[in-house]
Amino acid sequence: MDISTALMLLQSTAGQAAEAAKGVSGVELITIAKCFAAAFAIGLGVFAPGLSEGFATAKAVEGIARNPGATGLITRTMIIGQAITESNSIYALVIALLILFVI
Amino acid sequence: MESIGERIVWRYLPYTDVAIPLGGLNIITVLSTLAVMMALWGLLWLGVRRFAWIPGRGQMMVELFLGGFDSMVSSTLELKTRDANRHYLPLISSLFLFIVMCNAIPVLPIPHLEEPTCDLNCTLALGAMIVCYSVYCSVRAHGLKGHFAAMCGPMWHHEGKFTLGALPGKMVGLGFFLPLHIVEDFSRVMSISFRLFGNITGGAVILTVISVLSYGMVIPLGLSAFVYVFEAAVQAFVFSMLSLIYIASALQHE
Repeated sequence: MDISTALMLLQSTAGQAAEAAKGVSGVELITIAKCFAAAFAIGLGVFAPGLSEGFATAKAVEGIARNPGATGLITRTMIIGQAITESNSIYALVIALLILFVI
Repeated sequence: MESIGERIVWRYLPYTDVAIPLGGLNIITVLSTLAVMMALWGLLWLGVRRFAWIPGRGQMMVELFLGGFDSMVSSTLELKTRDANRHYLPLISSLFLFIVMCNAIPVLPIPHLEEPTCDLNCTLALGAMIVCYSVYCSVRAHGLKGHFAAMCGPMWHHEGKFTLGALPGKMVGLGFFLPLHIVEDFSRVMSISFRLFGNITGGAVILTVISVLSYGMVIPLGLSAFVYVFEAAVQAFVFSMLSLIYIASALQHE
């Protein structure tokens, strides 16, 4: 997860493009299925948490507008609550990364 | 792209045939954790080097941090005495400092240094430690019978003699609330560790992908500043606050 990984990836993608010009066999079918699965996993998995975090922020902004003195407490509670809701979309991200890079 | 999921594991000690027990050792995680501890000791030693009753700048930062956490711990735990609240301050503040430094250690441009929390073993260990500590706190505060009564739910307690009318409460407690509590404990371990692991690994993967796409130009610098400063602090804060809430709910069963 550092700059050496990024340089390694830059060099490897050029070689894979030349082999993709032939037909589709078993291993490439798995790669195609992996792409579809990861895209659906992350796409459907972040829809509801994103919506609910927007609602939570709206309620927090309303609360600050009604009582500006409690800004610190409301902001802190909102951050904690959103980090916990965020973990549901993080589970979807972990499954997508698992599908793409480990299986 | 398969190298993102690989981990360097030592199964045998190098240049020997001695097998490492328990399946192996993630050597990058262990060395990164050592580097994290060295960095943390160095920074905190710089902070408390000259102790004065009118604090200088380093001491002021340490005092700000500890004072903030002390007020947070006191307002959440709400125990009877201030010393009882202070009893849990070292665990929560050192958890926060360790996880912040773990997530932000790639700021140092050392070649194979990556975040220890990118390894699921590290976060599972922290999560299991916190849940076991909350169970231990509950047992220490209420005894074994009190902990079992708290596990069995709200309808377990009966007044006076044990008559036939107390039986449905016991049955519901044993049959429904007890398995629910045990599964909830395991799900706490999974959720708290996967939240930390997923956020940090996801941030690192997004940084790698954007670095590859933009050929390492300016954009990864700003994005890595965001990830290594903001997301590290938020995830550490959420982890420590959540562990504090678990300990508080273990101590306040009545």
